[in-house]
Amino acid sequence: MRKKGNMRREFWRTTHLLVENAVTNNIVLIQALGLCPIIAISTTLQNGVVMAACTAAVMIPLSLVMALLGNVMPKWLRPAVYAILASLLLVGCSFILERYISTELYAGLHHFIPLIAVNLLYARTVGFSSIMHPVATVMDSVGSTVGFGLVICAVSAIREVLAYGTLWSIPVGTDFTLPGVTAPFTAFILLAFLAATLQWTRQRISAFFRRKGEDEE
Amino acid sequence: MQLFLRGIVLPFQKGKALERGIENLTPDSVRLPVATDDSVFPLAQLSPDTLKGQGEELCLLDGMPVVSTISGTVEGTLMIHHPLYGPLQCADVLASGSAESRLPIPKEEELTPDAIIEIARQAAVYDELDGIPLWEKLTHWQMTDEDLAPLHSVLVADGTANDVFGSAPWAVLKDQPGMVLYGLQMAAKAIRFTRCHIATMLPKKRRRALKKAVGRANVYIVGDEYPVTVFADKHMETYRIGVQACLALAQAIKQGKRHTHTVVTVAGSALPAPRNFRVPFGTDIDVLLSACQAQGGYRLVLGDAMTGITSEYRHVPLLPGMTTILAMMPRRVRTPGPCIGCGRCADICHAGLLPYEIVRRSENMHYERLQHLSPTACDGCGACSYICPAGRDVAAEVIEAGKTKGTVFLHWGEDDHE
Amino acid sequence: MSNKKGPYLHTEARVSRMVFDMILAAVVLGVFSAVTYGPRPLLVMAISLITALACETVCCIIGRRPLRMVLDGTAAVTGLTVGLLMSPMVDTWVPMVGTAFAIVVAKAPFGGTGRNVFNPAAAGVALLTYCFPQQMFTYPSIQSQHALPMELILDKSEVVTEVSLAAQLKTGAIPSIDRLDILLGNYTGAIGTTAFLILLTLTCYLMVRRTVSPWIVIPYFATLALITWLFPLSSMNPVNSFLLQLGSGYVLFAGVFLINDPVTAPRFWLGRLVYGVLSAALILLMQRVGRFEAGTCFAILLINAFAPIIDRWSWHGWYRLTHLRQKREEVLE
Repeated sequence: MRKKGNMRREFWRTTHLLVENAVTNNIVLIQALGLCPIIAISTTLQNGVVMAACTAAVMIPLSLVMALLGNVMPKWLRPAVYAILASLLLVGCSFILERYISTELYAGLHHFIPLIAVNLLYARTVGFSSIMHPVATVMDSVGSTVGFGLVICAVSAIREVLAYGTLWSIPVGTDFTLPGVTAPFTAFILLAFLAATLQWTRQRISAFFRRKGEDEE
Repeated sequence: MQLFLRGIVLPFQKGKALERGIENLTPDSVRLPVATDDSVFPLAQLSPDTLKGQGEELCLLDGMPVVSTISGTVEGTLMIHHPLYGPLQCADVLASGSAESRLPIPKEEELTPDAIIEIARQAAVYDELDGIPLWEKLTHWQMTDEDLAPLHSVLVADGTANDVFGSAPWAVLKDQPGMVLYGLQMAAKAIRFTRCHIATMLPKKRRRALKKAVGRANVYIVGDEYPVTVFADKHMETYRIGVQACLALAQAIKQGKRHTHTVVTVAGSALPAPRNFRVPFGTDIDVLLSACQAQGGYRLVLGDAMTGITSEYRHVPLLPGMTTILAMMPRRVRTPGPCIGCGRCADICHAGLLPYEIVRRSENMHYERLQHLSPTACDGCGACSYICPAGRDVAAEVIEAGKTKGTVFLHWGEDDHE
Repeated sequence: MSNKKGPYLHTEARVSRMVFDMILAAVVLGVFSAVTYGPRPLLVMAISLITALACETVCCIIGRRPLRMVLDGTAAVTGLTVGLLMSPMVDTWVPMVGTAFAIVVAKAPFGGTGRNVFNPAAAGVALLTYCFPQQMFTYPSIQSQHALPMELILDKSEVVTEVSLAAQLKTGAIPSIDRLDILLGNYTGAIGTTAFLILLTLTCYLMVRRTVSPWIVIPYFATLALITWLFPLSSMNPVNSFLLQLGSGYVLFAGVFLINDPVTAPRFWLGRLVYGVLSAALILLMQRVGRFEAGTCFAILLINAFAPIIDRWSWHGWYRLTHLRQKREEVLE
């Protein structure tokens, strides 16, 4: 009975970790990490999705590896190992993207994909993954990736509709276009509005999970 | 038209109070604070049968002899909550008879500085500007200014009546200018000042009459801005006492009278016309208001229209420090809007503060950053509340901010740390 | 017993009076434009005004502010200002977009009236300038005496257009326009910006009514005069150069409406002086080397961002100066 309770408590805690990074403590909107790629390239939905996929492909394996090796390595070595692993993964990602998916997309994004490594992951992986249980780490990085992906997809979809009147290059049937939306300042404004909306909802969501966790205890 | 806003000028509504002169009013009874251990104003320590001006042999409290302001019999005592001075133990005195106990009149050569202060103490002279006993003020200044060159200091009899309604100092100056000047000179002599003058903002015609009566050199005309901050020429340290305190001192020296009566202006939008009354201390304010045919439904304000305090309780005894009583018709309450940043409060603040910034920081709870704007320098003149186009009570918020010593829990900017 | 302290009297000056003055000024300018182009400028202004009020209402509902705050009139001033900066032949959806942006993005999220960092009207017009320069900077000719048709979307090919002064200056040409013509507003431009003498008169009126602060306006025009005197437009007579510079783009208009928005300007007099000087310099810079023929709104937004700092630093500087002087006097004594 007691063990079962523990299990359930762990389950809710892990889920909380996932949801926290994806939604309530969103890595972009609340923690303000990874703003650069969003502001620069989120002009079409395709860009956004590719960017989110690349982030996931780099971040999840990396954090798992770091979690497994983290305790073995001395503290000073971690960033170096992390940087080497990240660049290896990024090279792989770029290669796949360029060869098998779309050369044009890669041409537009290739400046920004390496930014993933420094911008988004450093703080999370080195600070968090190395000291936590692997399951928690993976949940954490999945949550972060989902959070980043959600935001970049939302921003890029809105900007694509407003700027070109299309979504995933398919016309959505609006005549009205604001060509200025491709400028970076709109991304800031959109992020601000999304962050405000999130702040408004996050209290309720985190309160829900706190209640659940307390119930099980 | 004043293009650059610097200070405000109040719209005077003093009416014909000055032409009507001072009306004497004798109430049937007065209510005097009795000396208890912690009483604020030990005006009277009374035996059942008491004489006007009597009492110096009864008891001395805080060094102040206590006097009754009318002759009569004590009916009993009761506790009242005075809106200005807090809870006071008061005695009801019913008027009967007109006998008066007076001080001995000193000779001219007996008037040394210490003797004048002693007379001010014996005669229970209060300064009507702030309700502090005159002898205390004089002693304090005498102590502090002993070494200072008297060239840089000037004693000012404040007859400005720098208020929308109040005209009591003007009336006193019109009535007995010579006595006021004599009292002022005696007070100056008491603190060894060589310079003294009467500061006033009387209308032009009265100004001329006053100058004729007391001499041109003894009158200083102040500007009509509110609040008056300049009472003398530049580079002069000013020390202010009230006109009525000067008068009372002069009467005590020349006639041996004790300070039992005061001139008070009763005015306001609920009254037909402003009037000046000479009444004994302790008179019920309600008596004054009914003498002026105040209609019901007004709001009682103790003090002037800018800094006075409302009181719901109308049977308040008149005490030193009160020169204006207003009965105001309640106006439609305007909900204050947000600050739109017109900056007028900063333009007119005579202390040179930034009221809008103080209010903003106190609203945002940036208490630590508040201190750099020195909100404690505010003296609550209320000019910013008067001028604010959004209808906010800026002065109250600034004073509130000055009192605040809240903990610092927001630390967003260090940009303006000095 | 409750004791209220404080003044029981207030000045007659109210926010509503200031707002009324601004609305009056806007209407006067609109009427002047209507005399030239027919009633279409008034239509543009009305649409802008209605959009502003509607957006403000929605924002009040979302922000749970009392609805009476819509009627304080600041939103109306924003709407009218955006309307005044439109070309008379603009499509009517353009001011709607600009006003909606002004209220929903530049004003409401900061907390509404009195708390916005940037001038909402300037933000709205800046967006429009960036997105639709074609719409904004095509002006009908002043010579053709026909009133513009009252359609919501004009057929541009039917209207005789004219190149504005600012656009001529931008290409480096010297507009061949008489000094008197500039003063009489006999040139083409946005609805509210061509009535030269009326704008100057309104400035004086608003200053006398204390709706705008002379601490901003006088340094602003003084700096404009100084700069145009020091650096005249291609070896022109300085007076002509000054008038031409005022008449081109929104330079004169900004001196009345945009930089005088009390919410976004500094509040201390010294800060206002600095603000007036800086905004004049920045506006001229934007006007002369900027990308668009009327870059005033970008300059306003830039200088707005610095207004709080200018305010604070100027006060501290002044306070320290007076304080030091006092201290020195004390020491001397």
